[in-house]
Amino acid sequence: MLQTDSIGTLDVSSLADRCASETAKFLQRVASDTQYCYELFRRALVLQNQEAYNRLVETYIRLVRPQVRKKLHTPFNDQDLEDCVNWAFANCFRYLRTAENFAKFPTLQHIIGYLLACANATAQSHNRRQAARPVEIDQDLTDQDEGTTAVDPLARLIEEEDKARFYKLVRASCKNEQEQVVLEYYLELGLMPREIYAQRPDLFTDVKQVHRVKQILIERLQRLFRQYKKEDFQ
Amino acid sequence: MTATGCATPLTTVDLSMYLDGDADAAVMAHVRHCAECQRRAQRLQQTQQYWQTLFHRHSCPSSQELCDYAWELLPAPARQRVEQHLHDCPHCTHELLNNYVTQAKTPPQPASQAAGSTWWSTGIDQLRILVSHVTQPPTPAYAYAVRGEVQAPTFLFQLGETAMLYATSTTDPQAQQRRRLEIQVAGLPTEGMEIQLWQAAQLLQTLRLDVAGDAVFDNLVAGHYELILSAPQLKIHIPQVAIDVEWPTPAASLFDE
Repeated sequence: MLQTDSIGTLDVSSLADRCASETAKFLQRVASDTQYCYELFRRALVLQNQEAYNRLVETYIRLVRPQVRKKLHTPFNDQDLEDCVNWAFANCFRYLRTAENFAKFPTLQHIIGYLLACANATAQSHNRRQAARPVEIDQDLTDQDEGTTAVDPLARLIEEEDKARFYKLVRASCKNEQEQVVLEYYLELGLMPREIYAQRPDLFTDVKQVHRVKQILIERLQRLFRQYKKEDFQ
Repeated sequence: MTATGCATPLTTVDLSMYLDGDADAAVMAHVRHCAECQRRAQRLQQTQQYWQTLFHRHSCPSSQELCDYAWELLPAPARQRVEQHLHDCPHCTHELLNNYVTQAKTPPQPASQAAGSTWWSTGIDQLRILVSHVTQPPTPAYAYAVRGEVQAPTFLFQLGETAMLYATSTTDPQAQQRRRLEIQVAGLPTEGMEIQLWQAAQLLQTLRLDVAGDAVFDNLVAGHYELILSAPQLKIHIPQVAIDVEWPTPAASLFDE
């Protein structure tokens, strides 16, 4: 094994070649030396060496891409997969690029573990975005009716930025803690009214009251949204 | 409020309770026999689902924040915000537990490890987290046979040093094409303990364990599931339970999780 001093004198290209060959050994479950890859990470991140950075991505994309694919539970295409992979590297490297933060990861195993955790996180973000994409509303069910409120088809046009602005409006419209709790627990977290009552019996007299507040909130949402879109288009 | 085609239309709150299984018998019977109220209920359901989907996890910490929380990289104020949120949010708890599943094979080091299970300590109200994998190659054991029941395959999970969880898959007696998953927890105080069933990052059902430490999930299809047991200051995550499908190969290292 080479001493750390001599690793420090290797150029990036030699270091990267050695890192790639040691990684191949590891993947074949043969004893391998981790110090070349660790040094390559240090040069790429702490010393901001672009060639080292490129060679790292080239070596570790074989680990990151399958990890992301495995954690994607919602539909995705090739572009989604590549976006997630790029974000995984970016998020991991963003944290590690200062000498102080890099020092918190004393071994290659620490760095790779965090890189794979970032891969999981980007896949989870994709899963969340997909889960927050409203389904198509059956047109037959969107006619106005006195008994139940119908979803405004315009709501399907809402974009992420719009959603955040609209959410602030809804949040500000809540008249009491009951409504805030129903907004958070029912609309955001998807808890059932009986689960909300079980968690907050101090706020509601019974399950029916949770349903009442829920309906008041949804009807207000519909009204607010129509008003919001109207203002937006004027 | 009135609705055409129904002499005694239900209120929207009644319909909402009907949809969530909270309505009384009279409301249930009314909807069963009233096409108009069924139509209104269906539309109400779509409306509710729409808004729930639109705001799904809107205020949750990002997945990267949860990842950094698990790796103890967040600054104190952000860490406190995440911990406060984790009190109420089953989705973020689930995501966090999955972070620990990956971390079980990577640093930082867990608090302790026993056969098939890994303990973690967190800053959340001294919450302890346990990640448990099936103990051995999932060779069926027959724990339930001693009760004189059908010898269905039972899979064993070690929960730390002394506790066990048995998971038994049988045919759902109410629906022959569906499966039932019977859970039995032994060696832990189970009073007030809840168990969640997850599949593909979706929370399917939450049950409270009975006094004997048992819970039963019905109407399941073949597939891979996850279980999360919750008690004050304790979360136990079982990331892999296979029902009538092949069990995933036990993970050997962080590279083939």
